[in-house]
Amino acid sequence: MSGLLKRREFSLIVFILIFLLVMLFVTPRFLQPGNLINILLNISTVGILAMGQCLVIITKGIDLSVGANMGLVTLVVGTLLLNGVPTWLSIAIGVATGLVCGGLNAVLISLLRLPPIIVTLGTLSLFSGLMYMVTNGQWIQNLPSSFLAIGNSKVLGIPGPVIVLVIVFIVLSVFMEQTVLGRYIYAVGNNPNAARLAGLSTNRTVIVPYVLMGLLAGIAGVLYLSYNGFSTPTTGADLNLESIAAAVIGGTNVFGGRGTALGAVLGAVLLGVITEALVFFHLPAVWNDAVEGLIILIAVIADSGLRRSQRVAG
Amino acid sequence: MRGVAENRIWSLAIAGLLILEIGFFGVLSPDFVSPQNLLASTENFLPVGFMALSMTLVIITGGIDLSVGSMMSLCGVVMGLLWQHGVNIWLAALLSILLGALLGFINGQLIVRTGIQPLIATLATLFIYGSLAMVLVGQGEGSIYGFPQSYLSLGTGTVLKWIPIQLIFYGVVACLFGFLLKYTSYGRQVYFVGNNEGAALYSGLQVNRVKTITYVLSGCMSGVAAVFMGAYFASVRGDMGTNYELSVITSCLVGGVNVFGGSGTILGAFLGTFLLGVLQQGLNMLNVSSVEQSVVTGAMLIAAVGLQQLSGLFSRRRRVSRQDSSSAVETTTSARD
Repeated sequence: MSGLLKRREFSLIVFILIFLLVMLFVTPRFLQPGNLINILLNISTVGILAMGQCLVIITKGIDLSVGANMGLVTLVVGTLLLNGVPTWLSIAIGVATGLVCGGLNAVLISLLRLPPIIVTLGTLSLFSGLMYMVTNGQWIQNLPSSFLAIGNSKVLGIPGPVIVLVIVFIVLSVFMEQTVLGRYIYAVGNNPNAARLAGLSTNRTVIVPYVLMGLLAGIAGVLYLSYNGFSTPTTGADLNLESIAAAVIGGTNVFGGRGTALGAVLGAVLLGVITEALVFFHLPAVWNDAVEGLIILIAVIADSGLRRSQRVAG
Repeated sequence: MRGVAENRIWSLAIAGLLILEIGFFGVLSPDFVSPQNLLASTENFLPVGFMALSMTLVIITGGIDLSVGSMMSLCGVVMGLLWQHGVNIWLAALLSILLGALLGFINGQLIVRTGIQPLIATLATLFIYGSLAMVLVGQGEGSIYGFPQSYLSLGTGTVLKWIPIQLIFYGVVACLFGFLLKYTSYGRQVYFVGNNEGAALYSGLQVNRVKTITYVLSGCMSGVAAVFMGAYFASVRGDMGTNYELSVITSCLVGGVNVFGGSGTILGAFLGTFLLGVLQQGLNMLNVSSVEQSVVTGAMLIAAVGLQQLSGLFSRRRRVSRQDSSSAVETTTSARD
């Protein structure tokens, strides 16, 4: 039980519930099911990316380029659709684009052993530049309704993107907790030497999270475009950092080795709830970043404080 | 640590590239390489140059400062607001540089006191400072302008007809940084901390103080960059520094500053700044849009680090040993959970 209480996921759930309770007294409207589902809908892309970011950070890495990768996917899919390419083929090519971009990061980081922060900072500007080139800086809109139907579909009142978020969450949780490869990722992040001595190829294992991150960026990009119905050359610019924020708030340890998909999603939910609360308080959106930054700091300082106290106790 | 010889070779190579680059653009457009034009074009990228000087120190100690762009925005906006409220523009500029020092101090203290990674700490303050800048400047127009002419000459004025005032300031500050890093005990401490933090700590060095000062300098230089940029564009905006961290870090790494810490020179940062800056000016001349230029910047960043990695067998060995020691600490803590 004490183990459960110490888990970041548990404290996040408690914190989110308390926050919702407070909001209940401020504006009862906030807790209407419609609004809560709306919050989940808003965080579905961030949530998907945050889970990928969590995997990357577990291996002591970071991916600063994921928002641009996702944005590039939206523009590629949109351009294909507007040129009459069938929906399924456009989606497939879009997801493949995400995979290729993620694969580029993976190759540079694992084969050339370049530091992830520098590689992804470089590919961030690479992908953002490509975004302008794909559409010459134009917006993508007026997409075929058959494509828009995917993002705006509902099953039992639950929007399609939220269902995809849940499916990705379940698949990734099983992958991270139950499969051999998933455990390898934790092993490499926790102690590269031990992992190497145990016969793991640390370099090859590091490829996996970045490729998965690319795949998730592809899925998120398709969802984003089909739900919103438009995309601009700056789509996803704020998601680069927001996905990291969500993962870190969710207890993913920046020193590697620790983090869960559940935590990453909960981190995204907390960010979504706070953004929505700012709207209810009529605070300008520019405050959003400041609040986000503060929450990241609180989360990581709490983390390092926790580790310190554990060290003393041990 | 990469040897001094290797550093020299890298600097020479970059200097050679710079000359090639100027020659290349000169063939395409003879006007571009006239001394007058070359000197005038430096005004475009010198704000990046100021921040690259202090970023060099930060990276040598093994840190990174992602918040430089946001600090620049916040300093610029505060300077503009102070001036709007009747403060003398020069006093406002000075106060904004001091504000930069304070913001950098906050970064440094966050990093050394809580032990969180520089990357995450400055990522958080990138959000916070940038957001504050936007909040302060207000919604709507979002820019402050109408500064007095005497201040504007800081950005576009020249001495002896050709030499931009900004370039003279940059030269002086770069020399000061070069002296600080190479000839003072503080400079040697910066290298020591970057090469082996543990050894530095056990030999009685105040590692935390050394690190904090690098972030304070980074904040100061962001303030200086804001002052010059405000003068150059004759206005300050809440997002004037957005994405500048990329150019600053790229300038340092292209200049041969080791991304894992421990080595790098001010000369390198200077050459990196000019290589990148002249490239951007040249591409502007060829009507390549700034967004497309970012593709080039990103590719150069990766190429520079890739070359560093391929050329420096030493740095790879060092990196492995550093990972070993950090993971050893991690194991002892996690074993006790």
